[in-house]
Amino acid sequence: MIGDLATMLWKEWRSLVGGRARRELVLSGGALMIWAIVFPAQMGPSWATDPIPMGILGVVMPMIVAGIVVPDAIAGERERHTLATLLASRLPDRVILYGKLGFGIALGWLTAPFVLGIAIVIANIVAADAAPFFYDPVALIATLVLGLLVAVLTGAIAIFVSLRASTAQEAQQMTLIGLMVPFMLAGFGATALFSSGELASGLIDFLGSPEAWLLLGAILATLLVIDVLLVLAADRRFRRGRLITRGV
Amino acid sequence: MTSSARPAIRLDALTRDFGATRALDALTLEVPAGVIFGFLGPNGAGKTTTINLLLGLLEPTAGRAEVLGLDPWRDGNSVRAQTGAVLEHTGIYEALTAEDNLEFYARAWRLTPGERRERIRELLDTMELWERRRDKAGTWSRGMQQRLALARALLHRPALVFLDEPTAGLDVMAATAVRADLAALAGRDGTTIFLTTHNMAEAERLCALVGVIRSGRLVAVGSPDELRARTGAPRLEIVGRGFAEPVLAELRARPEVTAVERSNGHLTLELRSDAEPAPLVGLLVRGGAEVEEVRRGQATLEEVFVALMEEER
Repeated sequence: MIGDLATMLWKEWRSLVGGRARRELVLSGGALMIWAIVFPAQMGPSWATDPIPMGILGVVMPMIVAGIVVPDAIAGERERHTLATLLASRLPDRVILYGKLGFGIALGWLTAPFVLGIAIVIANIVAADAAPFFYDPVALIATLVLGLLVAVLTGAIAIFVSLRASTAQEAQQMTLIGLMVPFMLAGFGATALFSSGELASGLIDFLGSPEAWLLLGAILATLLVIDVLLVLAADRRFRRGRLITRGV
Repeated sequence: MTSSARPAIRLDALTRDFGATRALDALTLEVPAGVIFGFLGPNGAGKTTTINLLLGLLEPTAGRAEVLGLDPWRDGNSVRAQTGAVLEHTGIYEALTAEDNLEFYARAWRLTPGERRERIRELLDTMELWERRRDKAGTWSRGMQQRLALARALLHRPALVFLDEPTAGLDVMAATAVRADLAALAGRDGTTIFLTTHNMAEAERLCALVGVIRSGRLVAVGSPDELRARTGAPRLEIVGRGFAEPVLAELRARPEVTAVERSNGHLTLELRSDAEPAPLVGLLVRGGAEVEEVRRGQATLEEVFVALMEEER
């Protein structure tokens, strides 16, 4: 099983290096990379202490990458007429599923520490006069854990979307739009809250209190449960007999 | 793995429905080990569905299939471990190099690194693709991709190979090369090949056994010679001059002649199975025809196929 999984991950990696989904990744990832360069350069030392830009990079980046790579690995493979041949090989259903899902999640998640690392280096270069600074370790770990859980959520949703979508692009758009909407609504809500001075100061007080960590823990635990349920459901759904349709 | 006595494929009333449509209707068939079996039928006849069922990619609605002694639905992984396939599309990863395409499937079939290197070299050499192994497969012609797909299907030396229209869309040279590879494979390694094709000449040339399917039902099975003898009437082709209408009318009146056709100095007589050609040639000569050559023949597999399709209508 482990050897087969490694084979699947190897193939997904070689395909990506070979240029698959490169355009989508460059466009979306490039926009966030600009974010990771421009904002730290403007913010300097405050970049390390402001949780919002760090959260955006650490959570949105894995979501976008997983939301591009996983649909491309499944709907794209069907669109390029390579899925049926893959299913005719001796690789078990689970290896194909977890290889593709795992690759998208790992790639998405690993981009978070990468871009956060670039951002903190840039912030330190810009604030050359100040003593070297780094993210608050607890906030960083929380961001990375949240990024991982969001990447799993994105990948699992992408599996279901990909099984129905006719093209990789359709699956990518449906997955990312579906996930972006709640994020954007939350963003608008936060902006509205912060525009009211009284609410904003109350919220800032709350974020600095131990209860905020409890809330974050509850969010992470809820996401973990949703992720596990979605992955188990994908595991049940991803079967050869259901993937092959007439004439495929 | 496959004993010579056991057929490579055995189907017993195999049936598959897609909703209200019956794609395969009680298909019963045996394919002996070590032969090239040609599965012929028009588009939508059920050929691809049969391959998908035999690879364990679809569950039968009813009936039973046995591939290399295993139930493909229940023991799908074991069946797929011993078989290779080139399906309707080549399944080549165009973003990967030719070598990486083979490397991936060689790893998937658990070949050791040494075996992988050796086998990939051997197959690419045989298919005359070695020199371009580092090209992205997407830059290759359709014929080269088809041969790469064939190499991929043979990596693990499978006992049985499924090929869904392996020469469709290829130019004459590429199709000839693929056919030569297939003939060599069956002859040299004793691999059983189950191939679907629309090309009757290809089936006639390559296949020891042929099955004809229409609307999910098997309408004929046998060697190409048997099918021709069973379905196609014997014929006489006569080359010469002076085939006058009165003598042709006389021929048409003979009970052993079913049809007479004249074109470009050729005369074709369709005969009943017990017809003797000599009296017919004598009649032509007495009627003033100059006969240069007489050939006895049978209907081509294509004519047999068309006749079978029309019978079914």
